[in-house]
Amino acid sequence: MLRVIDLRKRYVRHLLGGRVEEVLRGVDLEVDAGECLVVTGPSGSGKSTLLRCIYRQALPDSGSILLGPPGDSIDLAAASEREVLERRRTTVGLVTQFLDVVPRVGAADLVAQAGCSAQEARRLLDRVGLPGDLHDVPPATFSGGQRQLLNLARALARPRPLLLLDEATASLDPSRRHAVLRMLEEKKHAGTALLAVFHDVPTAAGVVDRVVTMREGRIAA
Amino acid sequence: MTLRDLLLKERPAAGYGFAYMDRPSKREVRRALLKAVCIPGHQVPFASREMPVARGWGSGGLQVTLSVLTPEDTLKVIDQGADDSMNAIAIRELVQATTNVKTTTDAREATLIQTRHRIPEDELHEGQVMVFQVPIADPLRIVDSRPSVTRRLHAERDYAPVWLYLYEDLVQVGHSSFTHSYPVEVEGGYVMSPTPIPRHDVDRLDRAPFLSLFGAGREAIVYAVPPYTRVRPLVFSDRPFERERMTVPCALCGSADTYLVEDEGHGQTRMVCSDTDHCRRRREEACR
Amino acid sequence: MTSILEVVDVSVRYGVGCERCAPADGPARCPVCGSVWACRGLSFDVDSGDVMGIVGESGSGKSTALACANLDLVPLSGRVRLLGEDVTGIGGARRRELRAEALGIVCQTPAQGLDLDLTAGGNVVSRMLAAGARGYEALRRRASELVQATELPLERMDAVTSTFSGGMQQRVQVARALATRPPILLLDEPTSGLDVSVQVRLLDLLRRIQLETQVAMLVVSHDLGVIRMLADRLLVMRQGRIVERGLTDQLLNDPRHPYTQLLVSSQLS
Repeated sequence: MLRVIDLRKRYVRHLLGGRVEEVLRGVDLEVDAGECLVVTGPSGSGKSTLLRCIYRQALPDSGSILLGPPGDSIDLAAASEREVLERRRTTVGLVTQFLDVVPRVGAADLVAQAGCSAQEARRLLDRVGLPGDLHDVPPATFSGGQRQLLNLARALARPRPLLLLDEATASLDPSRRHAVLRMLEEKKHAGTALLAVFHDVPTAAGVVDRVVTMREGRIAA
Repeated sequence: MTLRDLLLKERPAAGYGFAYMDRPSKREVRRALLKAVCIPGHQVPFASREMPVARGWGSGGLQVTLSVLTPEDTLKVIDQGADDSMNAIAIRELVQATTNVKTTTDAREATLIQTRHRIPEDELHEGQVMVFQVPIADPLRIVDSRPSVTRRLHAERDYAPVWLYLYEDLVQVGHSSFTHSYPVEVEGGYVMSPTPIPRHDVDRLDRAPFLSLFGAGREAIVYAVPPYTRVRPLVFSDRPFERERMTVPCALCGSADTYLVEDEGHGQTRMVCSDTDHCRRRREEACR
Repeated sequence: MTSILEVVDVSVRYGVGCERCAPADGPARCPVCGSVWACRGLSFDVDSGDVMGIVGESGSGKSTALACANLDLVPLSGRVRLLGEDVTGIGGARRRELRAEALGIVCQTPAQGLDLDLTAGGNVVSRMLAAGARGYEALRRRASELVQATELPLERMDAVTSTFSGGMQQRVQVARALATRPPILLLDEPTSGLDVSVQVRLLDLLRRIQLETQVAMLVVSHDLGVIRMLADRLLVMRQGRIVERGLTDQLLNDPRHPYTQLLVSSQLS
């Protein structure tokens, strides 16, 4: 479902006098449908940047990001803006800790705008565990954990074959975390490919199939 | 010796040509009129001469009449429908004095009718010429007072501003606020002002058998509508054009379908026909 | 995906120009002849459903880009295409038709885009009248639809526009722009001069309208917050040129051009 080949990315900080930070120095990985690959590693190892590049929130300098089953895939690293937007709509979801706050729009509406009916949106919010009285509240005042749940619901609004998860449970309390991992496991069994970044790899069996560690911009052997 | 004698006698020496105006000036007006007739409803500028009528009192209509009149014509002049109003008399006498044409009050006999504010009630026929006195030539004046702007709007047939004006009227007042000079679209696309004729008379212009010439002396503009040309008031498709409704018949002749005006005579106010000659003839018919 | 707006290598110059003007990376103002290049070599396109943002500071040329798209300016060189038709330098009746039917514009200030002496409804229907609509009831119906869609109080539809607040006047602009269902909406600093809470409401409205009708949009703003709310794709302009382009979140997260980095880091909040 996803093949990353020799992905490289550096940041050039012009405001810091042109300082160069090599963040990804040739990353290779593969995730199949129905598989969950976890990427872990110390801070600064490039885990988040990797996910961002796949989602095109950051532009890689070289390498390929092949999305789709072999034979019918598109290279996200070279795809046009419109193609990427289309894939975000239908194929790839991203769950991060951060939430771009849209003022005045309630949680349920935000989920619905991500691609499902108003009813479905509320069902999803219930499933991820967002309390009912927050469904119509704009998330500006949500806690970190609540925002994460909202992000998750948004990513799940449409069935997307690939989900990218960046510390998707970091701000959740243990019972919530457990429930979310269960949900992800279900998705996995239904065929979704999961690429998840975790600082602390969840030990719950059933969710995680493989773990790789990143160090200084590369997958450590 | 009367003024008339003076004019008739002194005419060649005093430099007055036939119909008061010199030939080159008349030619200028005729050239402009020919162009106007070829482009119905289009405003044509012309070199407007000084007239012994103050600007705003019919100097344009007068120049048209004087330029178009021939010795064989029969002239009728009305103001507000009446032949005997002060202005009508003054204009008629000037023309008569400088041309010696036959004059009449009967619209059916006249070959040329100069008018302000009315079209005679009688049915007019082919070969007749109506000359309208125009105070404001540009129907777009209501949306912008600058000719530089309105000229372009006319050129591009961009009449949305007038339609907006009509829309706002309906919204604010419930009906059009135009009591006279209702904007009309002339065949070919130009929107023109049919001069201060009341709504009652507007449909007389549509496919009329007579030639309509419009003269605005102060603005130095003429325009024209040739016979049998479509002239339609601007109305929304679901708000048909409405003429004025007369609530009472004419106090003099009893007519229920002519345009009436207030008359304050004999110590009382009553509604009477604005077309005095038509009214008089109706009374005469009734008496026989 | 149908192409709605294509801007191809468009340049706009004020002044007479000379041989020394506009080298590839020269300044916007020619030191020799004094000509100002408002934009140079601008190329971008907007398809149906796209929301394209243009961000830049004063003098960047973003407003010039919008003016070319709105057929207000004739470029010195390059082409502008609307729905596949080459409309570069077009004038007269066709221009008027396109501006009434194919382009909706929301100007920076209501006074620029509206006739404040007309009623709100009058402003809303003005483009429909320009496009030839002649049924009074139909005009009224459409006007009330739009007044409601832009969350204006229906009972004030026949109130004179000058009596409305700034935020409400901007909504009247939006309603007016949408009246003829144009395929693309052009927005020039749509929230400038408005109180923050009013800005948010307006942006929310625009966002919802875009989601519901899938109208294409070209949004010009100096405010990245506005861009972030509305635009999926973004052009960064400086001194008449596009210095960087990409997906909005990509440019905000991973700005590469020095100027873009400066812009992003200068954002308050």
